Amino acid sequence: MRFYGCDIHAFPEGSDSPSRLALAARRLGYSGIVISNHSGYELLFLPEAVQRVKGIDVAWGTEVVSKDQRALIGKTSALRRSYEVVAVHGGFEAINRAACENPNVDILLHPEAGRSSLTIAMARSAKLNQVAIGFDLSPMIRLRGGPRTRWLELVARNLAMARKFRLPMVISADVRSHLDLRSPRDLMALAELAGMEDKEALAALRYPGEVVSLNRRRWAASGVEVL
Amino acid sequence: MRTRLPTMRPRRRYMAFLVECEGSVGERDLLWEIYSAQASLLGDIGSSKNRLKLIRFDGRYGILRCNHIRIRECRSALACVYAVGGFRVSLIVLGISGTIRALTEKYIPELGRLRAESDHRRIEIEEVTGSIARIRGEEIDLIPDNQDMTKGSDTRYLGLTSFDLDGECDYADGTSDGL
Repeated sequence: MRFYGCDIHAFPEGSDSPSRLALAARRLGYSGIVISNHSGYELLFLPEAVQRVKGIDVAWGTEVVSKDQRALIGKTSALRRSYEVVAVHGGFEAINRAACENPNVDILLHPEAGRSSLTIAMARSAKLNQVAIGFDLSPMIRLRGGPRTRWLELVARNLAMARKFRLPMVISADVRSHLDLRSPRDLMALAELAGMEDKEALAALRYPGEVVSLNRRRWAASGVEVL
Repeated sequence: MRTRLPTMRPRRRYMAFLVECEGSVGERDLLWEIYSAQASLLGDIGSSKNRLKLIRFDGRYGILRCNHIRIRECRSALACVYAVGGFRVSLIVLGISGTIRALTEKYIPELGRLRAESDHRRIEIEEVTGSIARIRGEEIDLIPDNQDMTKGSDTRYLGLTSFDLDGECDYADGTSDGL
């Protein structure tokens, strides 16, 4: 099983260096992690030190935060070449829609954050552009009571939509320190309680690895690979 | 006379876990947090079916008992524990077994191998400055001079590794941890 953790934020956004996160993730059973700081925190602390951590693959990604659709399109096409995984910090409906319609985007993270759910049009274009839907499980870990109930309700709605249109799914936990990392099996258990099936949860943990291996190959144009 | 047939006895699983924490964790505090996480996640009915019990806890490693078909729920409850007694923690499940003996032999390591030292050595690399709180193997916890460095993640320490130091310090004195 090649499990990849994604939505991981290193120092200066989180409080751990990339190598510490890699070490903690290796112990938990991940075969790779994608370190993706939000835009504004791109300058990582000692990113070359992760090469000394053996037995785990570290990929570099970014999580694009933007206020409007036009800025999102510009940012993603600018960042596409320099990062292996381009995710979008979802939430607002306009941003969710723009991310789904953008083929440069790999993952749309937490589309439910702004209390808006996926629509049919969004799901159709996400399918066309191969945009995965990221389910961020950190509200399930951190919230209690009413807020968590409302979050579960929204997630169930998005999950039904992703299942109906067979969109790729990703599960993550918004990691900002090694104490936020949860093992793949823990994430699977949480996702299953939130309504996912076990096969879906397994595929969701593997999906970031597939994206990384696809994006590491050199593509001259869509469908044309430079060997 | 037997009060209950052996086949009617509920089957159990034992779960070994490791507490990764910034401070020290008390048994009562930990148990209270686990129970409250479980109660909030599964409710009273779900909790009653789970039969969770803390068998043993030594400050770092612990053993929990749960029902044999409700491991998923038990794992999720452990994953939902965010802080104990004001310290950020994370509970890592090491393994699951049917008997306490097998579990201890397989998953709970000897305590002698752990080394937690607290000294007053300092690290100053680029913008990161501070003194070392503790070192465990390759992992280093740093108390940053500037508290804003760990803002946004609720932690007190900055997590580094010896790999970070090796890469940057030319004046390292040749010890294995690069300090």
